[in-house]
Amino acid sequence: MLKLAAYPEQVRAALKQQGLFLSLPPFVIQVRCSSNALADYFTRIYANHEFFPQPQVASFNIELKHERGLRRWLKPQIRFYQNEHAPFYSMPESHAPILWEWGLNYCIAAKYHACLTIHAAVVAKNGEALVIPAPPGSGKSTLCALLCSHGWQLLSDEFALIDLSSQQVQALPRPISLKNQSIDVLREYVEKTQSHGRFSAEFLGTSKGRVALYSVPSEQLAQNQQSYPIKRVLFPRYCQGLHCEVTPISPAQCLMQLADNSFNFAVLGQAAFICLAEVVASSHAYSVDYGNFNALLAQLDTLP
Amino acid sequence: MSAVTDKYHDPLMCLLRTPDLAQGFTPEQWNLALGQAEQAQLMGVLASQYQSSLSRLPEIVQQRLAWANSLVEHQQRSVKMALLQLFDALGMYSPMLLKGAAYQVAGTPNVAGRMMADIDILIPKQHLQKAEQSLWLHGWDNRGKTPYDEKYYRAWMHELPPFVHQKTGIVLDLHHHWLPSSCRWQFDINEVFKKASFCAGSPFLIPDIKDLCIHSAIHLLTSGEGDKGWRDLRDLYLLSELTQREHLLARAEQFGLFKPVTKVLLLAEQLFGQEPVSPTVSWSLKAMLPAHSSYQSWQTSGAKMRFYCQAHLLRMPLPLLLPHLMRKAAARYAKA
Repeated sequence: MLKLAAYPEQVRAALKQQGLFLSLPPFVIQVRCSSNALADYFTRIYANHEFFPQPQVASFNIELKHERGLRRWLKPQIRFYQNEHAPFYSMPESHAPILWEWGLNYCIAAKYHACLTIHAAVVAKNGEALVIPAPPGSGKSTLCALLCSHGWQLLSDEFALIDLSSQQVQALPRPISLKNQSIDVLREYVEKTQSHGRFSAEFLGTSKGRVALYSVPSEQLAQNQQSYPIKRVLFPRYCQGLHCEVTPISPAQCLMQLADNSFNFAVLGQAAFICLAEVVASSHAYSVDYGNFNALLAQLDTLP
Repeated sequence: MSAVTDKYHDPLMCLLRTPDLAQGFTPEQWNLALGQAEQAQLMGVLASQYQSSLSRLPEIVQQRLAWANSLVEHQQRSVKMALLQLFDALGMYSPMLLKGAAYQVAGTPNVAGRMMADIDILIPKQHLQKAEQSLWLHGWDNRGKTPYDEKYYRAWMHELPPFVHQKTGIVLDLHHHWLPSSCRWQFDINEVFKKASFCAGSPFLIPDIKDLCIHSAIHLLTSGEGDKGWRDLRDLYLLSELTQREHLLARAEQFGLFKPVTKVLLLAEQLFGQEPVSPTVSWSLKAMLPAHSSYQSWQTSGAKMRFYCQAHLLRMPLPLLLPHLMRKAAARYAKA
């Protein structure tokens, strides 16, 4: 396998021809893209990831294709296809990187059933995982990115992948998707601390507003596929002006909320319920309203 | 390799006919075959076909087949649960299961890995109104159609507007016949009820195996949807092996459906029988190809269009069909 950053020409050619066979264990992903926007993003933001120079059987067959017609020349639009099926509307060509990220999220959420998948950010410290499930807009990604700059390791900002038999959560670190003011908060922080975190270009006017993808420095990443026991579950809500209020919640309530945030709880059925019952029995759960990140950080260190 | 299947163009059919050929597959062939299988709704079938020899397949193939397997198991559990609830609503109207749900309860050989879109139930026409009201009371909703669609279903079709369960989202088609009221073919559906029986562990009637075959065949012809044709023809082929050919044809003759049933049986045998032919050998077979770009050509599109038109002509006589299609086209145009 070859590193993306070391072979920009091959990456560019593969994306336009038979496809780039990207290794993102447990997945191998075939990506084709008729625009160069994605190649540049890959070699910069996925720099340390690896690809196969030869064709492989792929977990997902993804293609980002230009929409045809007059628009191809006036205002090029690009559309996401997974096995010839297009689940989203098209987007401007320059937005190819976010279309790729959101599209891959869709693939994992809709198709991956080897683990229980929960919509959550996951970070770890001292070999123990903290799961942060939350609906979009609750500040989950921002919190996750900030925690990573304060001694936590990133497992994922989008998916808690919980193994059904060990109940441990698996790392699948990818760039963090930041929206609107969060981008400025993080940018300021990264500049102040001179960390090696990298930002993609900013994408304006998406359905979620202004978006940028933030690649966490490699020392802040958990090793891919490494598993951690879940010790704490945090349901955050960002409230401007508030300090930090932590309320413990019961295991039963935690289980219901985790199930609510799960993509495949119903598909896995009883096995998923048993798994979550074990998770909530061996972890502490809190609901947190916070307006001050440092206060939350200090609280986190004292919570069991 | 069999001379009739070209595994470079048709890896999925190759795997369905000769599972052992999987050993020689290149990664490109696997990507194509799995893509085709997804479009044809046959991933689950592949998963069950390789269940005992899974470890001999490439790792990512195993992964994708296992995902498909999870979905199939989930669906079979959901259908089982839904049937329990449906019997509460419909039990007093002698309900009979059709298609996928019937196969699942009867445990026919085509059921392993089979995916279905909805549950189909048949009840005698005189109970239809009461059954519909009972379904409403049990959380199944079929409101919200336009007045024209209501009329389309209630006056001309053999089923009510489809029901959706408010909590589970499962879709139910409630039929009073196998064929639309406006269909050129007609027969007495009570004959089907007379031969139906119960299966162990289920309170629902299940049609006789010959009737399951006949319904599978004429449903394919009247639906006009060839994209899942391989799944449907595979159903028919495996079901027809459970019965004697002359008995099956005699039953079809009794319903006045000898010709159409013979025709579909021939297609099923051409694809899955002892002497398979290329799946693109005739117009009728081309209409059955999965909706995957590897099968796309002007001939496939033409064959599918022809099949669609034939099905609609069967469902409604031309004086009824033309205004209907124009209305549908206008509605689609207005929406876009």
